Amino acid sequence: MHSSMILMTMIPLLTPIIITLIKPNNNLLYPHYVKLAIIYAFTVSMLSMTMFIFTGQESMISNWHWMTIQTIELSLNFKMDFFSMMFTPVALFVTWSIVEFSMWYMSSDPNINQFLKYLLIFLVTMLILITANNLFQLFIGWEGMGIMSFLLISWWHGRTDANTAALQAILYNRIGDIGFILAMTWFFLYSNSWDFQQMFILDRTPNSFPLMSLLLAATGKSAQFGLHPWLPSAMEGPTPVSALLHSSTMVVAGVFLIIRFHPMMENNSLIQTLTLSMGAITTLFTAICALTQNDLKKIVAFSTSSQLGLMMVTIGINQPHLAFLHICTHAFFKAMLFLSAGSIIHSLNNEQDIRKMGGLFKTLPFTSSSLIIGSFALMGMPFLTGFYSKDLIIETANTSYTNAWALTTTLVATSLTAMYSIRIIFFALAGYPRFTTLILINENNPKLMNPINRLALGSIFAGFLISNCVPPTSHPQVTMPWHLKLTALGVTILGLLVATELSLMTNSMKLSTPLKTFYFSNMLGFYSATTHRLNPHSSLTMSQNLTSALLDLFWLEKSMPKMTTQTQISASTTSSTQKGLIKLYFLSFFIPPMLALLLTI
Amino acid sequence: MTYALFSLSIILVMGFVGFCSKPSPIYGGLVLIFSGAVGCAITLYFGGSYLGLMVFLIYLGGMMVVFGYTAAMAIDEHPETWVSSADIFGIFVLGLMMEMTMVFLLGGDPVKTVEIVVNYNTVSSWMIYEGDGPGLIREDPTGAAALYNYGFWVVLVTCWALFMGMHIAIELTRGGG
Amino acid sequence: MNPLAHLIISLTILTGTTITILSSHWFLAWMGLELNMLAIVPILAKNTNPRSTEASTKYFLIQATASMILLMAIFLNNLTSGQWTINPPHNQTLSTMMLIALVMKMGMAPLHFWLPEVTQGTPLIPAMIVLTWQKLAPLSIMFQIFPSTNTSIILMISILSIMAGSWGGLNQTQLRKILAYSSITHMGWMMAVLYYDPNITILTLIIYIFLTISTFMIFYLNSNMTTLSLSHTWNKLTWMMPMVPLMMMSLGGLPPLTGFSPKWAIMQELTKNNNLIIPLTMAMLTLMNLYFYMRLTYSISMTMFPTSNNTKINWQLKHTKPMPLLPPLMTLSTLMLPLTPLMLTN
Repeated sequence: MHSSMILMTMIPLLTPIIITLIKPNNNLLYPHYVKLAIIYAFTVSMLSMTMFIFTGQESMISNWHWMTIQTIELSLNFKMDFFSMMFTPVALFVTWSIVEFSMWYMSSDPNINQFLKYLLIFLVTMLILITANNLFQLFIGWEGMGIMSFLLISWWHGRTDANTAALQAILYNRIGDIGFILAMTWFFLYSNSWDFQQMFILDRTPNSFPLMSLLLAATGKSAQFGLHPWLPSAMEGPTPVSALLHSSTMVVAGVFLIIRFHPMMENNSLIQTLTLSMGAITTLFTAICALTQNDLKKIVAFSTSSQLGLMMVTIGINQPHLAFLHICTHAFFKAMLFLSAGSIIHSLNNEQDIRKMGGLFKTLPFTSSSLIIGSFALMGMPFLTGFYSKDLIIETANTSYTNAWALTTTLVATSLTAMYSIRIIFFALAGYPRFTTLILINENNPKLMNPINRLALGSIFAGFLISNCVPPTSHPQVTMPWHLKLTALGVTILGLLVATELSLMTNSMKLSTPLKTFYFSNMLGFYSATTHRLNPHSSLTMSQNLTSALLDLFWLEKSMPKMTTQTQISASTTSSTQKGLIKLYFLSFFIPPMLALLLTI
Repeated sequence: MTYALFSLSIILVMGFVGFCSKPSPIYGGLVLIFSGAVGCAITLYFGGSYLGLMVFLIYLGGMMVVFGYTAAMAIDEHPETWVSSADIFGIFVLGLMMEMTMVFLLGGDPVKTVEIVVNYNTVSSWMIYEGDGPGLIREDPTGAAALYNYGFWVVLVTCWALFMGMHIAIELTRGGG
Repeated sequence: MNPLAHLIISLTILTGTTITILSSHWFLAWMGLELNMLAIVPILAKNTNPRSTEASTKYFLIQATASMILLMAIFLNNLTSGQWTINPPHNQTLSTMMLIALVMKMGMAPLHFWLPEVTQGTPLIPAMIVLTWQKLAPLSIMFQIFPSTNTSIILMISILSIMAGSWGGLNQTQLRKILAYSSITHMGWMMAVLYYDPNITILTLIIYIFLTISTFMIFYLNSNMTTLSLSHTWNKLTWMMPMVPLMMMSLGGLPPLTGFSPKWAIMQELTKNNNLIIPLTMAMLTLMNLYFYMRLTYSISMTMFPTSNNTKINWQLKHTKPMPLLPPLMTLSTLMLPLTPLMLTN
């Protein structure tokens, strides 16, 4: 039953892709095919999820044996455990909304069919990754997402920025892939298997090398600190792409990988600490960066990055289920935030700068409400979706005794979440309009309204529903004093108040010369400027010097041809530049006697 | 005789030092002739009277060729002398000092030095004159006669060579292609 | 110059060398050398311009010095052995002295400096005589005394000559100087093999003389003195354009041509005597000779030098310098390779 259900989930998704192969002509109805396929898949997956929740029966299906290399068996394996069964409907639901939104947002695009097909393939690769039961299949999904993200980010490939952003994404992901391939190689050599079950059974506590490789892979994919710059840059893609990329696919894949390998990591304190510290740094750093950005989508992107850091922190304190819960809830409100942002941007004639917005709650009441719901959910406002995961995470973190520094950092980042969220609300929605007049603002298209509507409902209720479905034994039911219980809420409200106060101040007072800290935040911690400029510059300069100066000039030219020439020229000039002085020639008479003496003695 | 021979040897070497440090070609020729004459005198002292005389006459005759060359070369009307330049004079003095050093190094005490100069170790082998008995015919004029008799081809070639020397010297100094 | 005087002088040049070659008496041999040297001086100074006067003076001074050294060696040889017959001297020092004198006369390194300047200072034909005929007399004496000379010194002088010739020639644009340096290199090759097989020396000498005479003849046809003047060959003597490169390659010693046979024989002979480094060094250094011959070829037949106006093809008149010997000489100097076995059989 399960197996047929999962196949019934997957197969409808493949049909629109196959249709384009059979019938490649542009079809006006193609977007609807895509949407319908996702709806079917969602419905079926809901059924299987319900059944799973009901029975709690994890299973694994092996469909097709592909090949056997020595002792490694490669087959088409699907794993249906809690994570895949829960995440599949969430991803499908979010994608459904995004696809429907794209039909409105991209309606003027001549290649909308291709765009939707890319989105669909993107989704399929994510589902492959989620349901994969062996590393090879996981790798297919992993790489598929890398390629599709490249294609989608550079969708508007006429723009240089879009191309460079896509290149950045694929390059940073390749760095992560190195880690993934290293881990695969290690498991190939030491576990003789790529199946999760076999790997976990054989060696529950492997040495740190494969785990660090996996962490590197997750760092690349989930844009953790160090490999994070591609994520804000990816905002060059169309808004639906950003929504899909940041909510339910791609960026959470890295976190998901770590969750999958959690059984191996939970006993390795080094990896745990690394994960925790990296997550903490990421969440604080990106939150700081988000504070001073003026691009609406960039702020949301940095908030995603910050939330990914939070998920990493959660795994670092050994709570994979909570991290997974946060992935699911985050998908809803983050997708909705992007869609609302898309709505605003579209209405303001592709204006993304929040300084040029303002007063939108009058003109775009529905979008504004959704944006506020999403932001509040992001902040962790009680009884909205985000609350159920985020509050739990903060509480667990507060009661955990691991790394106080990392946990404090996370708390600070949490309060910053409130700050940048309120900043969006304050600048974009409140106040007086600062945009140019005569802009046709409307939000009455059902293709716009329905997805946001659905996601808004999801942002309100999904957390409650999903957190109820999490097996109660999977995470500790903590008890704590009331001040710890209220810490999460407290820091959030603190951040909110400070942000409101600050925003009011900036509204009425002119800031003096920006502080260094402002530059740090606004210039993204100078990270991109350093890594994208200094490193390539130095390495390219060095390579240029190596190739042109060392290899070409010195080795291929100076050392042999030029040296020979120079030697001959100097020998020639010294031996034959004569002055015609006969006395000197007579002096040369001394050479042969000397020679004779030397040779005969 | 020993004293005269020693002095002549010294003068001969001095002449060559002077030749080597010659300030202008014309003095070179002069010193060469002078040294040639001294050399002939030394030969005479060893007893080669015929040879000495012939060498003096023929060598000086040959010297005319050398002189022709040197005259051709010595175009300058105010040739330098040994004392006209400190460099040349210095070199001359240096040469003389070398000679002195040589003489004293070889011997040590003057008598021995003189002996070395006079009793040149193989002196008998290059002495032409063998005065055995009071014969009227000496062997060196006989050799000259034999030269003209048996070796007339050599004399011919030698004459031709001398002639060519003169001819070419004249041809060169005449110039004008 | 008076034709009669010229005749006498020319005859003396021939006579001097012949006397040297034929005589078995040291004194006559020396006299032949002197005659030859004296006679060549007015030939060199025939133009009576300062350049040729300087050249002849230099030539005279060098040759006179060398003759004096040789004469001294002869006298000392007579003193020690008591005879005038031309034999290899038993005394090593005397052999070396004679060798130095002859090296000086032949213009080999390290006493070669006068040779390019004398050659450059005189017209083409006297230069040709200096580079060919004047080598015969000293080489014939060398041929008779080599068994007692020190092989190391001979080889060292040979290699030095090849070096000096190769590097010196690279630096030149004047044809006579280039050929003078080429002569220095060739003399080096001849001397290198002298100790091992004198017949090959003779072969090398003959072929070298053929090559040099024909090259000079060709240059003489057009009165070419510089590399630049060679670039007019296409207009003046078109038939020369393929011939000169062949001559040059033959001089450089490229295989199908005559110039290869002596090099081949020398290298084979040296290799047979377990000398490996020396022929290798010689061949490598001689590559530079090939390079500057190729450079001449380049300006003769591979490029057309830019001129300010369109050059008209020259009117081909009957040549005023008839050269009946040139065609056979050129044939010999390019196509004689198959005859090498005949020449080497002894």
